[in-house]
Formats: sequence, structure tokens, C-alpha cells
Amino acid sequence: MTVGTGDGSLAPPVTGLCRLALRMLPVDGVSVVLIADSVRTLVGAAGQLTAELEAVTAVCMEGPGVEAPRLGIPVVVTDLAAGGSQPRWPVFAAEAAGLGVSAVVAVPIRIGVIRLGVMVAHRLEPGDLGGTVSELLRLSETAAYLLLDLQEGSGHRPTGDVGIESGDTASDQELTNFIGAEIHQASGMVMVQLDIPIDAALARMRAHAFATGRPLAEVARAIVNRELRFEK
Amino acid sequence: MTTTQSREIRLGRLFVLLADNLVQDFDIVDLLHDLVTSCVDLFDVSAGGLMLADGGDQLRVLAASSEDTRLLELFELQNQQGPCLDCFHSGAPVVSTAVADQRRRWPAIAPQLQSRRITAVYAFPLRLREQVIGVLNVFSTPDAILDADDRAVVQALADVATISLLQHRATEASERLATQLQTALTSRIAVEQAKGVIAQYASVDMDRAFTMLRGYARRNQRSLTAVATELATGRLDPGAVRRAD
Repeated sequence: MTVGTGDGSLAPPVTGLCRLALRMLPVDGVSVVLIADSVRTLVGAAGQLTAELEAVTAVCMEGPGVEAPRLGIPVVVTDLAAGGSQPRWPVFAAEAAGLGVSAVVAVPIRIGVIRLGVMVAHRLEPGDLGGTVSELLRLSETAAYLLLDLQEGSGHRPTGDVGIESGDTASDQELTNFIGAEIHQASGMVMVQLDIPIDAALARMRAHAFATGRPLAEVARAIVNRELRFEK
Repeated sequence: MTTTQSREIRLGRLFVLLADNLVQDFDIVDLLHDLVTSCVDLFDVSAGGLMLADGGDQLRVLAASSEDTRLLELFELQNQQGPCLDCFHSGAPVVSTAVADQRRRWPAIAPQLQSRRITAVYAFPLRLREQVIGVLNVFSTPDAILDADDRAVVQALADVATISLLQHRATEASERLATQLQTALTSRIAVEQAKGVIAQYASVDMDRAFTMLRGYARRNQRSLTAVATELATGRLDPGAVRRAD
């Protein structure tokens, strides 16, 4: 298992998103971890102790940061020292407490069945985290889009385009692109056409959209209408 | 037996079905699909759809009476303008039974309504205390106008939909609502992905793909979301769904 906690793996747009979350939420640290073939890579971080907390999570393979992506639901702990956490995650609870972390929220980053990673926020003080879960769920959609770019890694979409550093989330147009049912239907179709996993199918569609200068939604519609077909 | 009686009996059965479902571990997308299609059948309307607000307050289709891509699009277009958006913002039902009224209020979507012969549109809020979590949208032709009693029944169905969404998959996590709504939307996306797999594999349209997916889940007594997830992750061969059809 690789534990990617060095600064070298941080991606500026994802870190920008974490900074935004840190400003919005009553927490002390926010991080985004890309999970591919069980390999965890810290790709975005803002605030305190993010790399340390991810290192603990990755080494003991327990805690909200492991459970949220595994179960596909948010996992919230408002006080690691309280009853439930110790039996649930004996190593993580002790190690995180050793760092001084008391409360953790983790939300899965996914697009339907495509699992991309996890977004984690933590706080040193225990207690209620206000609207953190719903805000993180909202931000996790942006994170999903950013992680797709990282996974593709072909560099066809310069990170500078995303504009996260200025405090924006990725352009609304790009995000609403992912809302249409046709995108999801088309990725299922391309999966069968090319006999590849669905995340790779979505990547191929996006690469095609970029190469031909068309919006992803338009490419998806052409696929669903059987006007465009990918060949092996 | 008059039509009214048979409708009441069917409506009674629907509420029993929904109540039965609520005490079991149920699939939210499947249950709401039943609710929407029953609503369309009972009132003889053209189409219905249930939209749920995501974290960014965008309305997304969770269930529809038909999986016709153009219909799904008509629901989602209402994120810009339409009865769903008005209902979502006001928290009150929206009723429009005149084409001229629709042209005036929603010029961008009125042509699409007309091209489908829709002359009446209704939007009922899914309300949770002060919050509106989604909208039940109904479209009808001139021969199936919903009167005030009908609308009260549809609002009751919308309330049941709200309850079922809240009951779904209780977790010990706090902020249950946000989690439950997100889980439901993720299920819906998995269903769309699986529809694409079947549509390509079996050379069928999306509506047929959904029917095959649902039929397979029913016959094997599996949840729609579980089957969709297996198809879209390549763990279930689409050939099995086609063979069994």
C-alpha cells in the first residue's frame, strides 16, 4: 500500500476547494483523498494536521476516512473520546486523539457507482459540527469533477482553467454538465462499447468532448441517440 | 363498478403497498417509481416525475412515469424555469390549466409542453416542516384535469414520498436528511448508468432498458439499486438481464 501524504501529490485546484471548505465550516482542517485500486493519495489539504490524520488513517486503515468511501455514506464522529469510537476503530481513535483531533466528518466522493475518494473535515474541539455534512456533500460533487481530471492525468485540461484558487468552485457550466441523466446513461453505453470500466468510459467521453470542443452533455446526447459510437 | 370506485380501491391498495414498504428495507428509487406510475395511472394523466433537491438546490429527477429521455429532460429543464422551480421556491402547490397561462409564466418550457399535448401542469411540494426537499410534478392533457379533491390526493402521495425518503436507510450519522437525500440521488445515478449498459448491450431504448432492469430485480427479489450497481460496475453480466427478459 502506498501512503501518499507528501506535498508532491497535492493538486492546486483540490487544495483550493479544501481552503474554501475550511473558510465556510467550523473545522480546523479539510482534506481530499483520491482512492484508486485501494491506494490512497492525499491530493488536497487545508488547515492543520491534515497530512498527519491521513497518515494515521492510511496506516491503520480504520476511521471515518476509510468507512465513508467503503459504505458510500457520510460518517460523522463528534467526539472521538466518547463511547462508540474506541470499539469501532481502536487504533484510529487512539492515534487521532494523540494528534489532538476530536471530531471528524468524512463524505464519499462518487458519481453513481464511480468511486473516486473521500473528503474529510476535522476539528480539535469535540461537539456538533453544524451544517458540515451537507456542505461537504455539496462540495464533494465539485471534488468528484476535480478528481476525474486527476485520474485521467493526461493533462488535457490545464488546472489553471478551473479557477478554484480565486475562491470559485469549478465553473457551474461544467458541474451542471454532470447532472443530466444522459451523461450517466452514455457512460454505461460506452462501458459496453469499449468493454472498459465505467470510470474509464466517462474519461473517454470527456477526452472526446475536449478534443472536439463540444460540451460533454452534447457528446453524451449523441451517444444516447446512437449518432456517436466509440470503437475499440 | 364505476370508475370512481375502482380508483378509490386502487388508491387504497397503493397506500397499503406504500405503508408495507415503509416497514421493510426498501429500495427508494423503486418505491418512488411505483408511486409516480400509480399516480399517473390513477388519474389518467400524461406523465409524472419526482424531483429532489441536491445539496446545491438543483432539482434532480429521482423517479419518473416514463424513462423517455425527452421527458426526463423536461423535468430537469425546470431548474431554469417552470412549475417545479416555482413550487420549490414558494413551498406551495402550483397549478396551471391553460396554455396561455403557461406561455406567460414559463415561456421557455411552454413550447415543449405543447409539443407533448400537455395543457395542464401541477407541482406539489415535498415538505418537511419549513423546508421543501423536492417536487412531485404532474402533466396532463385536456381530458384529465385534476380537481381539488384529486389534488389533495396527489399532495398526500407527495407527503408519503417525503416520509419514505426520510425513513430510507437510517444511519447513526447525524444530519441524516442530507445523507439520505444524497444516497437517493446516488442510487438514481447508478440506475441511469445501468440503463446505459443494458441499452447498449441489448440495443433497446432507455425506457425499455429500465423495464428490463426493474423486471430482473423483481424476479430475483433484489433491490433495483443493488442490481444497477452490479451492472454498472461490471459484476453482473448484462446478458443475464437480457436472457431473463
